[in-house]
Order: sequence, then structure tokens, then C-alpha cells
Amino acid sequence: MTNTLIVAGAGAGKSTTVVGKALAEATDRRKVLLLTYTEGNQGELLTKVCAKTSVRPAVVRIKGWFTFLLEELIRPYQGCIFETRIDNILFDDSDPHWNGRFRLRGRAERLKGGAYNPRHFLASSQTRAHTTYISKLACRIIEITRGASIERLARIYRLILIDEVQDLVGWDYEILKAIAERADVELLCVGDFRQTLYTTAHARKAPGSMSEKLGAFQTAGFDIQYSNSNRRSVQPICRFADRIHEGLFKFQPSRSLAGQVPEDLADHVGVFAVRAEDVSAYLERYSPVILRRTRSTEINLCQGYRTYNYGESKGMGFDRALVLTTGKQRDFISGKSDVFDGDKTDKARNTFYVVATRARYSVSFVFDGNPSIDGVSVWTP
Amino acid sequence: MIIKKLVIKNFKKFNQVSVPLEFNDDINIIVGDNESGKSTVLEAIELCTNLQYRGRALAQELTTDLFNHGCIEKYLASPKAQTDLPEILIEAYVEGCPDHQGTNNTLGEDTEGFFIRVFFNEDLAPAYQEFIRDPDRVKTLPVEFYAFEWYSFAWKHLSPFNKQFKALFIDPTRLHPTFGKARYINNILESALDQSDRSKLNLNFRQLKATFDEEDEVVAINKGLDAEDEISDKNLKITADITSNASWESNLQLTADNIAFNHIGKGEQAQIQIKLALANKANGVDILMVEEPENHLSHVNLARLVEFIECKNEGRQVFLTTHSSYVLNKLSIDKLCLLGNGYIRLNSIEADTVKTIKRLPGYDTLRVVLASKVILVEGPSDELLVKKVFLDKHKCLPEALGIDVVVVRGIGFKHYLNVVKHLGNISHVIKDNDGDYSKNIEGWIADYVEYDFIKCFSPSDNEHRSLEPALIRSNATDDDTLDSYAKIALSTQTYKVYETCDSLEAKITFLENWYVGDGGASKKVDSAIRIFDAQNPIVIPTYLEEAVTFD
Repeated sequence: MTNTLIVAGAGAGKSTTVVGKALAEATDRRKVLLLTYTEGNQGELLTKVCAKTSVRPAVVRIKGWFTFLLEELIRPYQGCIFETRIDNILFDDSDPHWNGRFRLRGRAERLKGGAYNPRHFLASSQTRAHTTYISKLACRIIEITRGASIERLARIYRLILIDEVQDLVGWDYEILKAIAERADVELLCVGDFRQTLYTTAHARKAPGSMSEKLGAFQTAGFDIQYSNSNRRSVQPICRFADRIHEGLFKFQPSRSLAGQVPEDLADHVGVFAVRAEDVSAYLERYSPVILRRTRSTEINLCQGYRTYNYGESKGMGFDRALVLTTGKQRDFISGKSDVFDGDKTDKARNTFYVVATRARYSVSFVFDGNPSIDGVSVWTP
Repeated sequence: MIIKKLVIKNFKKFNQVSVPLEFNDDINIIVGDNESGKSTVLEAIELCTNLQYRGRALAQELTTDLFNHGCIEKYLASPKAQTDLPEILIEAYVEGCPDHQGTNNTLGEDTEGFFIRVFFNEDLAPAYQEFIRDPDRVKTLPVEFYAFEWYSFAWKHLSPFNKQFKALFIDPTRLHPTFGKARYINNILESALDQSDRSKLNLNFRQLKATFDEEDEVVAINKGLDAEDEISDKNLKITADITSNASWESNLQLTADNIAFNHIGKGEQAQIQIKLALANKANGVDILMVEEPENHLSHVNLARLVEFIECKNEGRQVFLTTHSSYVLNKLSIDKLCLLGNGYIRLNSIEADTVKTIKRLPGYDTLRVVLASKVILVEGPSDELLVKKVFLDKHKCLPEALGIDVVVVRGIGFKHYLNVVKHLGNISHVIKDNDGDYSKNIEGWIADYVEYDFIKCFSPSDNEHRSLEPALIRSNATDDDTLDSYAKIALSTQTYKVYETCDSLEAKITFLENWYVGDGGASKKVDSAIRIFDAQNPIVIPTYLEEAVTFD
């Protein structure tokens, strides 16, 4: 079976593509599994499905990646490693084997006698699996059972669609590879590696970086397609966003398919810098959605406006957005286009890309001084 | 979905070490002596597939009755620690539900399936501690401290809503009014109607109720109800109850020739239930369980019902219990699942035996199957003689010692022995040598030499070609012995003719010829009855003596 990876930028309609394929190809004999990384996006996919069929057909299943690992790959065969039923997952903020800079004792994968160590994979109750190590656990079970859980998966699903595939990392790719080897299951992954936000620094297994991931897909024999259309944002926004990853990989210049700007919004279209002192006036005038780094950023300012943290906003689209910028983002706007180059991870660069691509008609950055990037103009009240 | 195998532990008749029960994909005829656990198998399937015990939710039916007696006694004799509390486990190993595949089962197999487990609820440990403070006062299994769980082998929670299979248990006794009659009938009706039929019934029923309120007479009655507004300021009215939960299921009822279903004959009730379930328009039933379909049915109606089951079971798995050889033979004896000391299926029985028994379903195969010791004889006079010999020797009839005497009649010994050889029942075959002992007995029994529980008894003297010659010649040691035999075996009239014979040889010839020719068969039976009833002893041929001796 040919497996496909579609790499497309923000607003290319990736989720719409997978939902459309899922509904078109699901039959009683060909159940379809729609996977995604975040809970928010699961809701998004369900909404898209229901927009077409009102009720999700039983043959189309939507699961989060961790739930998928637990329900379909781990639990059916967990007896080969752990006897107590793993009831749930435990979301880790950081590597559970580390406390700050200190590695915790007793977390090695194997115990002295050679048996698997529950504390490597599970919380102390032994009924919850750490999300950091859950795909490793799934891989171990696949190894021990000589692929029994993949075999089982293939008996249930003929088509597996993965949205936001850029968020998979390390051991997740071992699972992708194992599924990709099946001739009787088709895999379609869609994603935008510029939007990888969960590049968890504590995940040490490759692939981790954008280029390693693309390489992994190539090695696994995926047919990789690129799409550069953007149905969401107007061309000036596309152009600005493209600059964030300029020179990296073969990203083609994005082409806006956003169409005509509605008349009542046409007075303010494009990319703008807003001085800190003008922000209140700007908010009053255009009521943009505010994007901020964390919940505690500029609390007072955000009062009364729709506000999202950077990470939350992924997958969403708004008419207008105002970004409460970070220092690096300001440096970039001021002309230091290499400001992200020395970073250990792609996170800061990708986050900037995500927030820059949320708006359909206008995106503004809080910025004092003169922007030296083409296409960014200073807004004055 | 098909159940390939059940593991049952500590549930009713099944103890902790019960063997897995394997099943046929199509029909399973569960047979066993009384109290052998036939119904328990059906109940275990119902519990595991529907989370119901005899039609009611397990949560309400969790009593000590569900537990194996032995395991309760073991618990009562134990120190009663938390770990001494027995658990019920029922695992169904199935095919056709890939979602339920996994290795979370006691056999450790990578297969599809699901299980129900009834176990001590650890949350109640403090209360249990209190309960066993004086362990000697604990006289019963404290099921109040139990919980249950229902999982697939993939270790996913099952619920009545997410399970992908449906089982229906037909048990005519559930029609009893105290047994939630309406719901039981509805289960059956539901399987007989498809979704759109059900919706239409419901809609029409609600409309009917709405029109009731608008009937002129009803309106008039309601006007008069509180005409003076004395009773209430509000508008009082009697209306049909059209709340949404009062749907057709609880208000409509099945009738046959305008008689309410629970008032028609028991036999007809049973037949209609089974046939409705089998017709199964909704196509939702994977597994059908029928408890003793022969109950309340005449032979002709049973024949029709069995025929119906045979042609309509396509696409679903049927489990039925029976005490009827006819049901067993007709549905095919190779579908037999025998519960006894162990569990045996007859799925490897010879095809020609299956076919013969199916074509001639009137034979008592079930008696042979169920008797742990059996004496097979050729005809009714052999049966009488064997019983007489047995009575003289053991001072009781064979049945009293669990030994069944079965007359093989037309289909001969072969098919019976083909059944028995798979089961290991101790079988004594009493067979005529028909004048050639070495060919008809020694040559014949050679086929069964590997089955040491099958033994053949026959006179080795070729002159003793069948029962009557053997009796005559055994008693022909001298005139007196033969005369006393003839006096018992012959009617008074015939004996007078016999007396005219002038030598021992002539007497023997007379007696032997007497049974040959027209009416010979009934003469043999008459003789046998007279011998059976006689007080005076006759000389018994040695092979008969041996045949009634069991080690």
C-alpha cells in the first residue's frame, strides 16, 4: 500500500483533507482511524466530520495519539510486560525520570533481574502510563509480541489518517514505521513541520528535528507531497510567515487562496507593527484576537478580549490577530533574520510561525521602533 | 460473532479447575444428566454476552447462587482472608470481533474475546475486616462485598452500548408474570422486527393515544370532570399517557388468534418464541440459546420446530439443551456437547453414522450417551432376558445401578458403538453369532479392539446361533430340565403339543422350530415375558451371566 505524507503550510486545509478522505473511504469492512496529537484538534476533527454527516459514522473513529497507543497497541498485549491493567495516561510536563537537573534513581528500563521496570514507564500507581515513555512502551510490546499488536490493528483498520503528524517524535516513528510496513493498511499523514510545538527537549530519541523527521518518512518509503496553497491568510501574511523559515528546506513560497477581503474588514489588511503605547487604541479600533506567550502575559491588557496562548491557537483561524511578542520575535522583526538559528530546538521559530499564520486579514505585532522587514508597516492611531 | 470456547470458573456447576468448553460454529446440542450443568453453560453465555443472569441485570442478581458450592465451602473452611474469597470468571473466546483481540485471558492466547469477572471489591476491605472479626461466625459468602467487571481481551471496558454482539436466551419459563414478562417478550420481538418497523409501530402507537384524547365521548367526560371548578382552579383531564417512555413495547402485546400470548398453549408459546427469534429480521442476534425446545411440544410439533431450527440457523450460532434423542439425532449427533465428568464433543464421529441417525431419528441415542454403563441388545426378547438375569444376579433392575439396557433394533450395533467409542461408556454388547462365531463375533469385534470399554458377549457354540437356540440348548441337559424350561417358555396350549414329543432330540427340534416362521417374533417376546415373570429358575447361558457382570 502506498503511504503518503502531505506537507502543507498553515491554512492549506489539511484537516479538511483527512476528514474528507475518512468519510469517503470508510465502510463496514474498511474502518478508518483518524488520529491527532492534541485534544483540541480531536474536537476540531469531530466538528468537521459532523459538519458533513451530523453524526460521526461508527466506522470512522477519532482518537488522540496517546489513547490510540494505550487502547490499540498496549493494553491488548500489556500482559507480556505488566500484569496490572494500565487504566489511563499521565500527561508529563517534563521527563518524569528527571527532577530539574537531577536524574531520578530507580527509573532504568530494566530491573536487576532483567524484567521491565514499571517505574520507567508508569506512574507510581502502576495504572497510568507516562506520556513521555508511552510510545516506547508500545514499541517494546510490538517487539516482544513480534508485531501482534500491529497485526491486530491491521485486522480492524484498513486506513489510518494522522493529522498534525509533525508533533510525533522519537519512538512514535518506530510505530509509524511498523504500520507503514503493512501492505494491508494505508497510512496518510498530514502536517506542517513549521508548526511543531511539542518538540520536547527531553525526548532524546531521533527523529527530533524537522530534517530528521522528513528523513524518517523518506526512509519508510512514504510518498511525500508538498502543498503551498493557503486558504486562510491573505498574501501579505503568507509572505511574512514564509520568511520565518526562509532558507530552510524546500518550502515553496505560499500562495494565498483566501479570496476577496470582506468589505467591512478591507480597511486594514496585512502585517503591522503596533507600538506598546498604541496597543489599547489598536484593540479598541479592531478588536483582534490576542495571542500571548503564557496565561500571565499582560493580564490586564487582555481583559475583555478573546485571548489565546500561543500553543492553544494552533489549528485555529481568526479575522484579525494581535501578537504580544517575545524578545526574539521583536529581534526578527527588527531585521535579525538569523535570531532563531542558534536555538537547540525549533520551538521558538515554529511558535512564531504559528502565531503569524492565525489571521485571515491582519496580523499585528507589538513592536517599538522601525521594522526592517518588507511588508510590515507601522500602525498609527 | 461466534463463540469458539468458554472458560468458566466458580460459576454454579463449574469449579475452579473446570476445563475449557469448545464449541461448534453452528449448532451446539448440550446434553448431560440432570444437574450436570447444561443450563449453567447457557447462563454463562448469557452473563458474559449480555451482562444478564436469567434475563435480569447482573447487578441485581449478584447472589451466592451464582457461586459454585465447592468454592463457597472451601471459603467457609478457610481462614477467610481477603485472598480466600472466590472469584467468578467467565471468558468467551470468540471470532468476528477484531476490536476485542488481545492476550488478556487466562489461557494467554492472542485471540478475540471478552470476560466477566465477579470479585472482591477492595474498596470495601475495612467493612470486610469488620465482618470477619469472628471468622467462625461467618456462615455464608459475603457477596455484598463483591463487584464485577466486563472487559474485552484488549482490556477495554465493555458496556451494553459498545459491545458488538447480541445474544438471545429463549426460556419459556421466563414468560411467568413475575419474571418481567413484557421485557422478555420485547427482547424477542425486537429481534424479529427491523429498525424501521419498530419506529413505525412506536409512531402509530403514539398517534393512537393522541386521538384518544380527541374522541367526543372522552372530551365530554373530561368536561364533566370538574364542571363547577370546585375541585381545582386548574383544568383537570383524563388523557392517554403519551410520555415518551411509554412506548409501544410496554403497551402493545403479542396475540395469537386474538388471544394474549401468555394465555395461549405452552407448546405454541415456546414454538412462536423460538421461531420469532430465529427468523430474526433485525439480524442483530449472533447467538441464540434455547432451553429444552422439546418441552410442551407434541412429537409432530417438535419435528416441525427442529426442522425450522435446522434451516434457519444460518449465520448464527445456536446453543440448545435437550433431553430428547429426537432433537439430538435430527439436528445431527456430531453437534453433541456432552457434559459429565468431563466435556466431550462428538465432532469427529463417522459421517455415515451421522447421516443414518439423522435419517432415522427415532432411536434412543441419548440413553446410550448418558448411561455410564450400557448393555446393548438386539431385540426386545434379549432385553427381557437380560433384565431377568440381572435381577436374579443383583437383586435389582439394571437402571437401579445406573446401567441402561438399550435395544438397537433396525440400525444395528455399529452406529451405537460409533457414538459410544468417542465417549468411553462401558458397553456390553449381546450379539447373536448367527451360526458363525469366528466371523460374526470375533471378526466383528476386532474393529473395536482399541476400545477396551466395549465388550461383546455371544455363545461360542455355533449351534447357539441366537437367544432362543441358546436357551433351549442350555436347558437340554436332560428331559426334566428341558420340560421345566418348556413349561415356562411355552403357553399351556403349546406345551401340550410339546409333550407329545417322544425324545429329547424331538423336543429340542420342536422348540427350535416353534420360533421359526410366521409370528416367530411375537412368540419370542411372549416366551421372554413368561420367563421374566416365572418364579422357577431356568438354566441361563453363560454368556448372558457374563454380560450382566460389570467390574
